[in-house]
Amino acid sequence: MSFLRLKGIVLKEINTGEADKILTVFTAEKGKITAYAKGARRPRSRLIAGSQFLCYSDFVLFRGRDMYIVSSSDVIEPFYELRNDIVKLTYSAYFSDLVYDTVQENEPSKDVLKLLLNTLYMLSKTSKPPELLARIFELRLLAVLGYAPGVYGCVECGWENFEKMSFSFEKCGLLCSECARNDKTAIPVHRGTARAMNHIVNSRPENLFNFELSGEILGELEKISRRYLRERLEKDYNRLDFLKEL
Amino acid sequence: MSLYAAPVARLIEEFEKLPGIGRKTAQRLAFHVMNMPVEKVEGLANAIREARTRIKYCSVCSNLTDVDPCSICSNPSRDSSVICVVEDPRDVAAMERTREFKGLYHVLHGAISPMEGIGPEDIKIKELLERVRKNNIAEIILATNPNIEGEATAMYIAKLLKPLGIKTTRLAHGIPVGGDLEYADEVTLAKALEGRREI
Repeated sequence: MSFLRLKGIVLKEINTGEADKILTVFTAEKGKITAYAKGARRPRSRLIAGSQFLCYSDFVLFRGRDMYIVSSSDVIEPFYELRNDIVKLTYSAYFSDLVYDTVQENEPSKDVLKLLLNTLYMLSKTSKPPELLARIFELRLLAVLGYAPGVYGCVECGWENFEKMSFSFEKCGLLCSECARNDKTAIPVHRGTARAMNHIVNSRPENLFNFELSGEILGELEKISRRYLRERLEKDYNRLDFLKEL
Repeated sequence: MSLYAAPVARLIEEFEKLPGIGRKTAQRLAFHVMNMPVEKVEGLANAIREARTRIKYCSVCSNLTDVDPCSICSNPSRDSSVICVVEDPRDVAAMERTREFKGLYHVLHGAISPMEGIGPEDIKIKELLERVRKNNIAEIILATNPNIEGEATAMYIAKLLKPLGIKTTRLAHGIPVGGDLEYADEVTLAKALEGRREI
């Protein structure tokens, strides 16, 4: 019987049967895959830790009739700290939702996996504000998926000064004050917001998280990022509304 | 057109709605009922109806009970200053099987889950806080499941209890009795090491 060895993160777990789980695992090589973890809810199961939500593990899988069957899982990073903070857990569930909806089955998605792992690392191990990490994740994910907004300068005339810029949802990018004049979807953006968007979309992966924003800029960035995400993915993501209940 | 007479088809359909029961099992159960003596079938039907109508939530601990307060809450020999918080009535039974715990319980009827959209308002956290404020409580033991939702719920409750100055403890994580260290997963082993105690 042939087996596969894949590293992946659990995006979804559904309890089934007496003590089994059906997992959606996101891997670099095969994108999203569905795998059956038999007995994964039993206290003595070898699969118990690796089959938990957001656990990044090294899986050994067999090809079953309808889905993969998990033979073993060695935990690489459990992101355990996320469990200790309901706010961080809610943000990670939001990231997981976005990835679940945007990656396909059996389609390699190395860059998305890297982005998700790095964001979860920053969320769990550092004190970076979750709100900022969410904006970075939203915009960078869209960029990786091919929906990057034009934020290097004005998308119409190429003007590269970030002063007095507007963001156009119709043109999917920044516009200078001249070009924005006739665009009804354009909203004026602060210089810092424009620069932050440029950094998120165009910076090298190792520098992606190396910046901070004031509350005002972060608020403006949130409005643009969430609306841009909603318009590109054609879906409302309400997961973060859960935080209002706390 | 159904392959079975209407009452049998309906019975199969009803059985199928139960958790873990598929089409084949539902058919097997339905035909088993068909072969049972009438009085036994009536006994089964009455047991289901009685359980459903007589069982209610205990006004103190929110556990399922037929008398209010439940037998545990009204037992004078139990230590009313210690409350063990669990997710489900089945967890009360599991704790009782240990015969080690002599305090009272509080059943949350779920766990906070951002993944499922279950918030603090959807489970019995408010009732727990009210109970803690009204009574003289020395310790709260958080015995929610050691999974992601259970851990998050425990941390959330611990945060709410902190200002009240009540000793709050969490059930320990560790290697199962009779288990093999070699086969223990890394997370459990790390948690067991973290929670080690002097002997």
